[in-house]
Amino acid sequence: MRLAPLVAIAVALPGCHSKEGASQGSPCASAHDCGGGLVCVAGACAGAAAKVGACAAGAPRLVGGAAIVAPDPGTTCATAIMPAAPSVNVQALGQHTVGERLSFDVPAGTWSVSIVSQAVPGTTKDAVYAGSVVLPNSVVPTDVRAPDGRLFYTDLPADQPSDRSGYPDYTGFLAYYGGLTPVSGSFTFPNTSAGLDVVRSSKGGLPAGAWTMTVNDLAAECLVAGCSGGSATGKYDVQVVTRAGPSPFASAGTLDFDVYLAASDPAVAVSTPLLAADAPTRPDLQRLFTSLGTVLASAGLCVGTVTFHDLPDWARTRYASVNVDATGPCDDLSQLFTLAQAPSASVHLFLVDDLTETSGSQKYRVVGIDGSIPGPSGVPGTINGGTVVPVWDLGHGQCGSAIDVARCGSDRMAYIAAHEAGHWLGLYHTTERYGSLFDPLSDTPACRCSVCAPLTDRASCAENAPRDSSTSHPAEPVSMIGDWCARDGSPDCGGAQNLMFWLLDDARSRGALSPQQAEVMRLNPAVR
Amino acid sequence: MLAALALALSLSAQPAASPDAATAAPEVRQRVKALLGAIDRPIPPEAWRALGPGAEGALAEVAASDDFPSRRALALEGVAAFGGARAEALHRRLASDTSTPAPVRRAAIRGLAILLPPSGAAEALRPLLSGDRDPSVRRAAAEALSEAAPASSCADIRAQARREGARGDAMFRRALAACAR
Repeated sequence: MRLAPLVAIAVALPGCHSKEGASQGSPCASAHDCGGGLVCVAGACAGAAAKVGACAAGAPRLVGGAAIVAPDPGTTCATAIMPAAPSVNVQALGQHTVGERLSFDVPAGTWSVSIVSQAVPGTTKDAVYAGSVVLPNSVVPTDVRAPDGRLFYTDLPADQPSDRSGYPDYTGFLAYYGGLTPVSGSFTFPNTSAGLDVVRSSKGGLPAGAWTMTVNDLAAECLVAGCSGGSATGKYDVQVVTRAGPSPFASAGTLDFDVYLAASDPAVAVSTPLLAADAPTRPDLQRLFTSLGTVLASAGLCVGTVTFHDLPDWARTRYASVNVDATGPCDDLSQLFTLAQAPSASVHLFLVDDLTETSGSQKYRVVGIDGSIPGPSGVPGTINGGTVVPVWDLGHGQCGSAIDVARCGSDRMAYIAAHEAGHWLGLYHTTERYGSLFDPLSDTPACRCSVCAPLTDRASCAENAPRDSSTSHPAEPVSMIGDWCARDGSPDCGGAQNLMFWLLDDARSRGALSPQQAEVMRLNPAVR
Repeated sequence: MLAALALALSLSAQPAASPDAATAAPEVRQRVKALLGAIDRPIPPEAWRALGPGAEGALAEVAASDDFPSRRALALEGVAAFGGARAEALHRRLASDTSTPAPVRRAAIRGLAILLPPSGAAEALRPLLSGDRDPSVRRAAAEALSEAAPASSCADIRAQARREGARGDAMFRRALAACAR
């Protein structure tokens, strides 16, 4: 993912007590009415979330699509406010300044809502400061309320709940936003266990009627919170995308990909462009998207059409190697994403030669990145609206009949692309690198450093602020590896097999997705 | 001629086929392999060094011969974190070896810019800037030189950008920007 989930803020459900003894079929308004491990589905207690059906047999449909036409901007850059794709249900709320209270309509039968905010150029500050830490001026609405006044999300919560080990626990929040997305941000809910319960329990989705929200960014919050660089000048174009249709809790959905080619052909020794016209018939790309489809199918997501697009020559040259350090609107990654011009509510995936990140004076390689979590489904072409995977392993290794991330390079790349698609659809890492931050879903195994790292390593858990014994300088915290997180079926020390674990582990990665992860993905407006 | 000289020098400094892999304890090897599976989080040099000196051999083994270019490139970063003559020799060999996958060569080029002093980086990378057949390698060499040895290399980078023709400015955009600072 592009940005560490540093700002994790939402609203906890008020304390509820489970009703003991409710049986399957008993009426319920939430899972708390059922108890005993049951869930509430459409007003009745059930043993598990409904099976959503299988995807039709066969590989995704790969097609060559229209080339992207865009003039070379030279040294200038554009951050145009992008319209919604024709296929989505959208309410354009217009341009509003931070602090303004807005109302939007949630029709009956709406399963999720995405609020897409795009800065009006020249109105926002680039960054705010928390002590010596520079934070991008992230945009996310706050004080989001249902028609009955219930608070679904605030970006300035009164308290931060923690789990039994003292780590943050966001599963009880009705909504969660963990990214730092300057200039353009997409906030989609429900995306937490408690939020899913609200919608899963109902017969018609989110509460229908007039919802309200406040336009907001970090600079506005700094006027009231403990940070500097505050400003109330930010002005944002706000669009609300609603996801209707058959219940995503009861049916599989279709997910399309638009793929933009900035990469060279990895099968040729000297750089030769990958071309959209050739892509659908290349065995390595066919393998990649077939395997991607297989991984996502376990969550009731059927990959439909994969459309390849050539980028203009200037863009291929410029973005074959992408540096992802800077997130300003004119920086490489942001400008690359503005080329996601296919007018569809798909996942917009860029294939490149190189993806690097600089820290200090050194560049590091990463094998995938997302512009934001979630992606701005239905509003393509924003500066955070893409996901990028380099083609390093495409076609390498040995591929058999089954998916094999340990030996088949195209499968490995498929797994990474599926992981990034998971981010686009709203999933966070089940366990972050240091084992001190977890996704807001209660059915994904957590791998807590203080519980799961070997005893000899626990002093190096991030919360202990480890120091180098020879220099007394801060030391690198211990990273959680798959071997310590492999207790499948246990609430503790599991998750290495999950698609959204922070590592790809040759021996353990299975692309597993929990029922709640699958629900979050299917609720996203990219899924039809 | 410079390219040939660099290739000869790098080949003469080749490490053993399995560089010190035996010294890596199974647990260290396991941790190395695990971190090489990082998806969207970079692994900083401190994390590699924290695994202890045994990690260097395990990383070098992956960098030299793994099936996947992504893992080889990431392993090279780990090798560079330890530094030293063996790391330098491995980077030199991979940067110059045209049969090595381009992503690995580019990673080796970036590593050389970290491992070598400015004069050494310039000597090692200039032949790749001007003489390599692969434009992505020339671009990587330009970027590495612009950071490691700008004083002695920016004139060469600008000259090469002109030789690249119409795409030169875009191709060397980051290097030229670094030279302009």
